[in-house]
Amino acid sequence: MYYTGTKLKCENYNKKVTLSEGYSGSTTRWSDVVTHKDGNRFAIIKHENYSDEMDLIELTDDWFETI
Amino acid sequence: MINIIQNTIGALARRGSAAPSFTGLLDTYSGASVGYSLRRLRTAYSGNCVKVRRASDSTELDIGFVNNVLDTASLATFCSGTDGFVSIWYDQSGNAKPMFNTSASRQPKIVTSGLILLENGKPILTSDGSTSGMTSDYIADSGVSAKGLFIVTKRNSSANQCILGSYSDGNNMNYLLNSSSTSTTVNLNVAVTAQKLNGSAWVYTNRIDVYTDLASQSIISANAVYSFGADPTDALSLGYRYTSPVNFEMTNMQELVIFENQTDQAAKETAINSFYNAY
Repeated sequence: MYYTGTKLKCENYNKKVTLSEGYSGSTTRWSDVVTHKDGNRFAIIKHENYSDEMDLIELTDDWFETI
Repeated sequence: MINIIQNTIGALARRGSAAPSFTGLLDTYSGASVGYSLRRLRTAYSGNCVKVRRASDSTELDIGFVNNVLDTASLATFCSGTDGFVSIWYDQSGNAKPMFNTSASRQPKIVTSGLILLENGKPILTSDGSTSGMTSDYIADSGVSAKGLFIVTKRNSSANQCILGSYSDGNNMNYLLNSSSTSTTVNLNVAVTAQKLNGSAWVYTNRIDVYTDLASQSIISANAVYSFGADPTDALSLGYRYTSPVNFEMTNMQELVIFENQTDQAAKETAINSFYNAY
């Protein structure tokens, strides 16, 4: 499942998980923000231990460009 | 006299208990530009196999080899009761081009709830349901252009996967598979010939065929000429694209070796299969 919200909210979610998990060594972050192909929607994968006020969605193929 | 006999007996005993000699794939066949595996590929390689992050506390640990295969005892102890993810898959070729992923959510899994993930009895890096992938500093489109490609892999249940792609260039793809796409663009910016799947000629028409053909543990071999480009953006990756993966994640992987030559394809396949018993 993914949280969807503004790019800033998604980045803040990544920061929250990254700081809380205390990644070290070769792992530096929880995840990257996924941008919808239209460029106006953003999502970040949910960490099972961290909830947020953003909406939860499944990322469907229409989020991604056709390859 | 007694000392001589004792020394002789001691020498014989030591000889009898010695570990069997080891000859790795890359000892027999030279010219590898990269070599990733969950077994030792080269006698002189003294580094680790993988770096693993455990989910319980995000600690990382290098895991090496015991008896020339992944040290599963150390891995199981480190990941007791939790999941383990591979952050670095070390390059055994001697060229120091490891595969890595710095984002926790996209690292392939090797342990689930304390159990090492296996395929046909041997450990495997798995990816399923997310945009798992790894990248490297290896530019396939440099040096000798004619490569010999050897992959031990198995697709997962995700609809979209890609075995090899690049760091950020979206036009580079080597074996794209999809559960429902009839697109015939399986490879782009790489010319593959003499393709074999489990020792037999591999013929496919579209991405569905590739998806179907890789349902079980498979050994792919091919001659490959990459024209991915020579920029850092073109660095070889597992999965479609490292920086923005676009839903085509890496396949499950046990071994990837790329040679800077196209010699001995059948013999190399046989040697790889003698370890994995995929066919």
